[in-house]
Amino acid sequence: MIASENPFKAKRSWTHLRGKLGVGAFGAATYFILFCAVLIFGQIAYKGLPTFFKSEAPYVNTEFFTSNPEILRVWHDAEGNKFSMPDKDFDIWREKNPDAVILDPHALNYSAGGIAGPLVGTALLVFFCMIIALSVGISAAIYLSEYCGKGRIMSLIRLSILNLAGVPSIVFALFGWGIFCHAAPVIVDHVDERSLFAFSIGSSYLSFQGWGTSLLAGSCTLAIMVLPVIITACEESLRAVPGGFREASFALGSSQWQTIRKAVLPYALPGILTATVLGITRVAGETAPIMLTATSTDKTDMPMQALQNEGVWAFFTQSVQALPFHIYTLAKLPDDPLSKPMQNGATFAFLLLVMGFAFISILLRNRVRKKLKW
Amino acid sequence: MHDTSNALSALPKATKKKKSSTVIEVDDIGFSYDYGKTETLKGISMEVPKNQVTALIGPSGCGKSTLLRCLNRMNDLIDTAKITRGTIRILGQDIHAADVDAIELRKQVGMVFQKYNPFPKSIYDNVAYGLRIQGVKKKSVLDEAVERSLKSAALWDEAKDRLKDSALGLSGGQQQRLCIARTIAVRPKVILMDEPCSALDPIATAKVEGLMLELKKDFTIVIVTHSMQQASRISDQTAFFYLGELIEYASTSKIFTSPSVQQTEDYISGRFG
Amino acid sequence: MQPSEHILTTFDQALHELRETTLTMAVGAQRNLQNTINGLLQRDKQLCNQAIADDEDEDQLEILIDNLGMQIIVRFQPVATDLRMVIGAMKTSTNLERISDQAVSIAKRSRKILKNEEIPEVGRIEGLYQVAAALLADAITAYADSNTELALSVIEQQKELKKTHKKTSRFFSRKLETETAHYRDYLDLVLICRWLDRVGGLATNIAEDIVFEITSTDIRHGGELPRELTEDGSNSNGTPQI
Repeated sequence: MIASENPFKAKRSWTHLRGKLGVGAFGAATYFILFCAVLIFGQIAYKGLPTFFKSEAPYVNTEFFTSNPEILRVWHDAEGNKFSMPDKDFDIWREKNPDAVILDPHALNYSAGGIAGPLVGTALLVFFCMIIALSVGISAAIYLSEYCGKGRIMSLIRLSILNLAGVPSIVFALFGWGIFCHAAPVIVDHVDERSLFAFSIGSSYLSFQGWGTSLLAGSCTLAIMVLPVIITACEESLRAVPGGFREASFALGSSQWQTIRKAVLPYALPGILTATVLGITRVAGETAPIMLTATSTDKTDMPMQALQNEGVWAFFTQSVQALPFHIYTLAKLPDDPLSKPMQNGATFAFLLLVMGFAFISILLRNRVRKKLKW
Repeated sequence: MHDTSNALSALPKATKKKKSSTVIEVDDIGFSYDYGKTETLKGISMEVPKNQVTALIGPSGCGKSTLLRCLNRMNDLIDTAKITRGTIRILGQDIHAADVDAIELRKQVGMVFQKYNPFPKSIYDNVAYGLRIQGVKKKSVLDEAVERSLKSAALWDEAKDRLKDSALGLSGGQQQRLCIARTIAVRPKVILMDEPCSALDPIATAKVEGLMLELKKDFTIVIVTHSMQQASRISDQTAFFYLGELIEYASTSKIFTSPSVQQTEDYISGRFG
Repeated sequence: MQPSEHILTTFDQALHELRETTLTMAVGAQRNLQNTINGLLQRDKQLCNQAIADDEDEDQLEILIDNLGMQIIVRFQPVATDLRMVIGAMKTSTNLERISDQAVSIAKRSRKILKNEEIPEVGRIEGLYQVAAALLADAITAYADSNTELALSVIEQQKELKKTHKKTSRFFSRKLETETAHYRDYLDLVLICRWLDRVGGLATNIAEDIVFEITSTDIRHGGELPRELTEDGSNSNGTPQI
C-alpha cells in the first residue's frame, strides 16, 4: 500500500531553525579561528620567506641557516647609495678597496649572518627538556594513575601539580636560576665562594654551587615548566586504556608492573606522544626561563664543538643561544629597515621549527596508533 | 537430556556423594565493599567439587559475582574491599593466609570475563601472554602451548592460519573463546567464568557451552550466569544466592525439578525478580 | 499451591487455562461414565447414545490440553512445580480420554444388552460402578485441590475395587455357565466389569501423577512413598545433595 499523505513529513518549526542556526554559529566560530590562524601564519610567512631565498643559485639562503648572527655594517658612499654588508665581508672588502668612500658607517647588531646558533640551541634545549620531562612525567603519571589510590592526599598532590601550570614563566625562570644555576651539585676541584655547601670526595669536592648559565640548567627549568602538562596528559591517556586489559592481565597472574608494562603502557603511547606534542609547543617558545638560565648572546662556536673539544660535561654546562631569545633581542634593536629581514626570517624559522617538532610527534603518534588500535 | 547419568544419580538411592574431591571450600565467608560497614556476602559456606561445573545464580546484586571474584582475590584490587569473616580454601590452602601470593593464586585460578577483552595484539601473543608473564621464552614451548590451548578452546581450525593477525579481527564468540584459550594456556586448576556468554549470540553461546562441557574433564569450572536455562544445561550443581546469602545449593537437576526452598522455586519460576 | 504469581501474567493465565481445561475434561469423563451406567441400569438407550456422542468432546479436549501444554513449555520454559503441573496435566488428559473410551465401550455393549429382554442381575453392576466412580471422583477432587493424602487414598481404594471386581465378575461368569439362554448378555456384563476395573486403574494413574506433581516423587511401579516435606531434599549449607 502507498500512503496518500506522507506521515513523516518534515515539519517547519522553531526547533529546527534553532538547530540550523546553532550549527551555523559553531561553524562560523571554527572558521573564524581558522581565518585568524591563516592571517597570522600567512603574515609571518609572507614577511619571512624572502629571507629564506636569494636571487642567485642555489636559491636557498643557506647562510641564513648555517651561520651565526653577525653584525651588519651600513654606510653611504659619496653618491648617496646605501650599502650594507656583514661584518666579516666588510673587513675583506675594506682590504680590497682601501680607497672606497665610507660615510656615516654604523653597525646593526645581529642583522647579518644567520640563525644557526640560536636554531641549534633551541633544538638542544627542547630536546633535553623533553627527555627530562618525559622521564619524570611518565613515571609520575604511572605512579598517580596505577599505584596510588584516590585518597585526599592524592587529590591534594594532583591539585598541586595542576597549579604548577598556572605559575608565571618568569617565576620559573627565577626558580631555575636560583636552583640550577646556583645551587645544583657539581664536582669541582676548587669550591666557589658562593657555594651553598660542599664536602670532599676523594681528591675533589662535591659542591652545591650550581651549573651556571647552561644548557642543563635551561633544560631542567623548562622541564619543570612543562611537567604539569605532561603529567596530566599522560595520566589521562593511561586512564583511557580500558580497565578490561588490566583485569585480564591480573587474572592471568601478572604483577602490577608487568601489567603496566605489557597491557597498559603500549596502548597509552599515542596519548603520551600527544602529551609530547603539547609539551614541545609550550616549551619551545618560552623566553623568560631560558633567558636567565641558559642563554647568552655572543657565542661564536656551535654547541657541538664543545662536545668535541672539551667533553660531555662541558657540553652540558655551556650556555647556548636560543631562537626566542634571539627574536626578543632583535625586536629590541632600533627600528631599521635593514634589520627587518633578519627579524622576519628568524620569526618564520622559529615557527617552522616548532611546527616541525610537533609534526614529527604527530607522525609518530599516528604510526603508533595504527599499530595499537583497539 | 544428554547426561542421563546425572539424572539417575539424582535419585536418593545413588551413593556417589563426596567421592570426587573438593577443590574449593568456602567456610562462612563474609565480605564487604566499604571497609566492613555493610556486608555484601553474609556468611557463605559451600564446597565446589573437582572436574565439575558449578553454577551460581541469583538476581542482580545478590553477591554471586562478588563471591567469584573473591575466589581468585581479584577483589584485592579494590581498596575498600575487605573480608570480614571466614576462610576460603582452595586445594586445601587458605588463600588469605599471610604467605599466599595473590599472583601465584591467580596462575592456578583463572578467570574469564563477561565482556571479552583480548589484548589488541596478535592471536598468538594473546594466548602466549600468560606464559610470557611467567618468564617462558622458548619459542617451541610457546608454540606448543598456543596450539594446545587453541585446540582445547575449539578455535584452532579457525585461527591456525592467522595466528599473527590481530585478535580484534575475530568475531565476538571467537574472541571469547580466545580469552578462554588465553586462560587455559597457563593450565590453571580452576576456571572462573563471570557470565561468559552474556555478550554473545545464541550460536556462539552454544559453542562456548559445548566447550565448557569438554573443559570440565581437565578443569574445575565455576560459572556465574543470569540465564537459568544455561545453568540447567551445563552445570552439575547450582547455588542460588539472594541478597548476599546462599539460599540453596544442590545438584542442578534437583534445583530445577524440585527445589527445597520456596524462594528458590519462586526465583527459577519467574515469580519474583 | 503457589502463593505468589508469576511476573509474566500471561504465564499465570496459560497455566490456569490448562488446569481449568483438564478439570472440564475430567468432569466430562465422569459424566460420560455416569450416563452410560445409568443408561444400562435404567434401560435408557438415549443415555448410552449421549455418552458415545460426548466422547468426541473428550477427544477434542485431549488434543487441546496437549496443545496448551506444548505452548506453555515452548514459550515459558517452566521449571520445578510449573513443569510438573504441565506434564501432569498432559498425562492426566490421556488417562481421562481412556476413561471416556471405556465409557463408550460400556455404552455400546449396554445398547446390545438393552435390545434383549431385561436381566434382573444387571443391578449388580451398580455396586462395582459405585466403587469405581468413587475412585474417579476422589482422583478428580485430589487434582482440583492438590490433595496428596486424598490421592494416596485413591491408590489404597483401588485394592477395594479389585476385590469388588473379582466378586462381581465371578458372579456373572458363573451365570454364564449355568444360564445359557442369555449367555451373550452375561458375556457383555463380564466385559463391562472389566472395563469398570480399568476405569479404576486409570483413576489410580491420575492419582499417582498428582502425587508426582505435588511432591516430585514418582511412586509408580513400587516407588517409595514421599517423605515429609521438611526432610526432603537438600540443605542450604555445605555440600550439594545428590
